[in-house]
Amino acid sequence: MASCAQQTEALVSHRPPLSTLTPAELRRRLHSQHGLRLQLGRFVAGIRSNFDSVADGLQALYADYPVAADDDFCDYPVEVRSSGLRRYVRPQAIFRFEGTQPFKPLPGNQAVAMLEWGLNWVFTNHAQHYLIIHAAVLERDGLGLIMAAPPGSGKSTLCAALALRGWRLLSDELAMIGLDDDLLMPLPRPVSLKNQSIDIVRQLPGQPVIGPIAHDTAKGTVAHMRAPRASVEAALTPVQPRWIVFPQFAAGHALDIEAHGKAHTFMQLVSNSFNYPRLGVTGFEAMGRLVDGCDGYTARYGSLDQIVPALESICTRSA
Amino acid sequence: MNRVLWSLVTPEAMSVVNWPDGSVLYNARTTTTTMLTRTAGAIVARLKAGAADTDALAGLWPADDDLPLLELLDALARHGILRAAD
Repeated sequence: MASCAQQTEALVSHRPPLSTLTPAELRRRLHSQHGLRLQLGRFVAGIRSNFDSVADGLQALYADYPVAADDDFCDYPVEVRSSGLRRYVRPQAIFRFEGTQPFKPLPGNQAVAMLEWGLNWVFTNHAQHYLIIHAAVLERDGLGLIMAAPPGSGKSTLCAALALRGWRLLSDELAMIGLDDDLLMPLPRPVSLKNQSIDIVRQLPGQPVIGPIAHDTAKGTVAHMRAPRASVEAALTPVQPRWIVFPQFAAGHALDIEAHGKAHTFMQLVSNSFNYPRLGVTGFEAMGRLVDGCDGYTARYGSLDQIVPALESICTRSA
Repeated sequence: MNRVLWSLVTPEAMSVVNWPDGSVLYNARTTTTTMLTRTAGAIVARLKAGAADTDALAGLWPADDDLPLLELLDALARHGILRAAD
């Protein structure tokens, strides 16, 4: 009998990518009652929106993602829309999930960013069968690198640089560790870039595709880099975690890699976890198994030229 | 050495993992996670199996540790991790 994962894989392999939808069909689905059923890793999000910018953003950033049929099961129905007179006068983007409105509205020109932030919120608050850590996750030679850090640590810029060098992107934002199998569940989505990092990534080799830019957000200027197609196509293949790195970017800083003991790594991961407290002893045990199987480091660096080869050395040497 | 009997305050709620650089204790009752020294972790792990007296716990004590055992036990008691039963 096929496993649940095998059944999902068989199902997804028959789903056409979003790029096969015409702009009109994409908009029709976004306006429909079911929404655009988009396959994100093992989840299906039902996305509704009346913003043209959301349709354009999805075409730019999610072209390679499988689209499910209207009547396929939807895990997470989300909505980014403006309503009433505000559709015409200084429109606001309102995010809704299952009838709730978890955030205050944002200016309409931030609708694409709001969809991304809203989806992050949905996954971190509702995918409770995973231990979720605020981290970028990539795979090299079949093993997973977790880069855990608070915002402003340079995590996403580094993540984009590695993905553009051929590392498989599992996530820019969320390390999702299965509570049953201890494996990293991929959830490759666009890489969130802020301020100077947008131009830094734009100039990297590897032909990055950058989506619409939103100015004057709470995080400054924000844009997203499209996930590499190979990462999207491998989104159902979980990865064994092997390395945990806490990146700390500071302009002008010399490269400094410090190995950590496992107890220290455990405590640092706890402080970067979204749902560890909620999972109770199950989360404690899962975190313990994760740390047991990984080497931990803090990496202080002042440029991508320093840190990228250092990580490539670490993630080869100790495999 | 006196014969005070030590036990965990809530043994059923406490889980501990031990590594060379230290131990991590989880208390499901208080939902707190605490990093301990390796020796403190070894004591908690021993008391998970049942109460033990000071002499028995002294056997877990590394020869190169400067902190007196009773000071560590008192500190763990002050933090609500273990208690002296007499």
